[in-house]
Amino acid sequence: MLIGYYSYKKRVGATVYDFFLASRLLGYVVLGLSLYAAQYSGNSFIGYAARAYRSGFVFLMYPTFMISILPVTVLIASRLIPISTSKRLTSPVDYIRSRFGYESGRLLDTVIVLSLVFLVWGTFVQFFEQAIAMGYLGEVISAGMFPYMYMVVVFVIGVIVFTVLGGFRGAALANAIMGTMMLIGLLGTLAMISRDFGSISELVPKLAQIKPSLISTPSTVTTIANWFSTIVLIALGAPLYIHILQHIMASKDPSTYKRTLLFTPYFYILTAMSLILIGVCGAATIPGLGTMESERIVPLLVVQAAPKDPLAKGLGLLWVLAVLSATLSTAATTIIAISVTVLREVFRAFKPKATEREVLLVSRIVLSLIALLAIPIVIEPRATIWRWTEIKFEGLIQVLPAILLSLYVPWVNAKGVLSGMIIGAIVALTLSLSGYTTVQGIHAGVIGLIVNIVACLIVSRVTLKEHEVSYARNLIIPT
Amino acid sequence: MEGEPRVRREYREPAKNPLFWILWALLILLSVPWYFPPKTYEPMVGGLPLWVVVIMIVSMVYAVFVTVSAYVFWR
Repeated sequence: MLIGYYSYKKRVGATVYDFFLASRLLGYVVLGLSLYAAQYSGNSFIGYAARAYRSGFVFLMYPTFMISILPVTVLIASRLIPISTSKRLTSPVDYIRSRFGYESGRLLDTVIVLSLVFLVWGTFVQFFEQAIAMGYLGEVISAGMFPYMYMVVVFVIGVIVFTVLGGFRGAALANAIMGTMMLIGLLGTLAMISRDFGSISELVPKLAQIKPSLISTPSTVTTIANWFSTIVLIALGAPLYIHILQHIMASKDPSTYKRTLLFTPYFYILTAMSLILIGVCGAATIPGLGTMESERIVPLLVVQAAPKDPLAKGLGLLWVLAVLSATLSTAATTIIAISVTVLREVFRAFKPKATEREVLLVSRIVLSLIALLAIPIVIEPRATIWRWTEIKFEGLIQVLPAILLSLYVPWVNAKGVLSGMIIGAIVALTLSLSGYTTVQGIHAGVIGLIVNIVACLIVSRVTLKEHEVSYARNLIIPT
Repeated sequence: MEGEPRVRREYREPAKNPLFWILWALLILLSVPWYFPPKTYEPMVGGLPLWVVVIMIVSMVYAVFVTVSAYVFWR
């Protein structure tokens, strides 16, 4: 918040373009930490550890799918950064408009609107997952004094105040600092748990007696298939968040992003493994929690360990503060990315001459409305954070052909992308709504994506026009 | 560098290198414990099931692959 205030005073990032330009000037350490903090915050610290509590080491898919996000991001970045630098593009919608620039009128508009629907969906769920996580954290930390519902509302209003007052500015730097604090707090928590409840090598054998399934290899082929499906779902989905794509597009040149890979893979893996170990240790120390009850496992562990001595108390407090601020900054970043991206399109269509100032003003109002829209959903979350994660990515990945495929296959055209997205979404939705959230372990959204890609390629091939291919080739093939 | 000499260095991307795809696929394949017998946690190594240790090691190798491939396959 202090950084936000400082940047506000110094007028850093007073315009939308400025904001992303500001990140263009940041070095690879800040960019890397900022990307790390954007991928890990309240939802993973609370919800993913809870998933490990319920499924045990089968959740070792977690480090793999988190690292798998990086090569997919490399595939996108290695093509997208040169294009965004030369064409001054700042958002994924800019790219889509540029890539299918030979189209005009209704077809291009429909592609953009539909892509926006998927992009906004994914980023919006990512936003309200943070609110759910903070609801659980607040409830447990306050020993039930502030119930979940109350904490959720306070959090959402907090995000609105934070962003409207100037959290917009300096968000990348703030994220970077939160990222570091989170990692330290997390390792501290793990150390605290093993000191107070027994080391991992003592707790795990205990589970062999209480619930051996938590430490055993997957029992069925379906579980194995689900493991692969989850890797595909998240590896392809997470790089498509609006704010992640904006971060990538804001890199000075490929080498800035490339340098982040010197350390981010190890941060990703360390965090994911620590969270799994925390969840599994939780299953050994506080066994028997039901599904929704287990969502509170991490704060429960911190609260149980904290009163023991001042050091533990301090570490616990540091952890809570770090998670809270990281979650706040992720929530702010997502909600800003959504409102700015959507509004730019609305202004482009209805008031193209609007000043950046007007856009910012309206974006604050819209931002508040979008954030408030999350309240009815999160007050009664109906599903675990993990389930929301799956639903989030199952929608978001349907935009993959418009972004990743179109970067590599010059003959992929607007008609193909549009048909793919429509068919893919229909398949995924129909399967999910008729009770087949997975088929033999494979997510409905992943099946939707396969159909989506096939449809996109077939339609593009059938409606191929030579001048469109050469237009696309000129744009996407790096020189 | 292939082809005629240029003033600017040729842009080399990971997607164009078959080795990148092969290693990537192999690491993902090995990161899922289909090659262990189902429903077992034995033998244990240092308090953790062997399969857990193996998957963790594969993930670490995977992380190294990401760093190395960014520098080797993307220039």
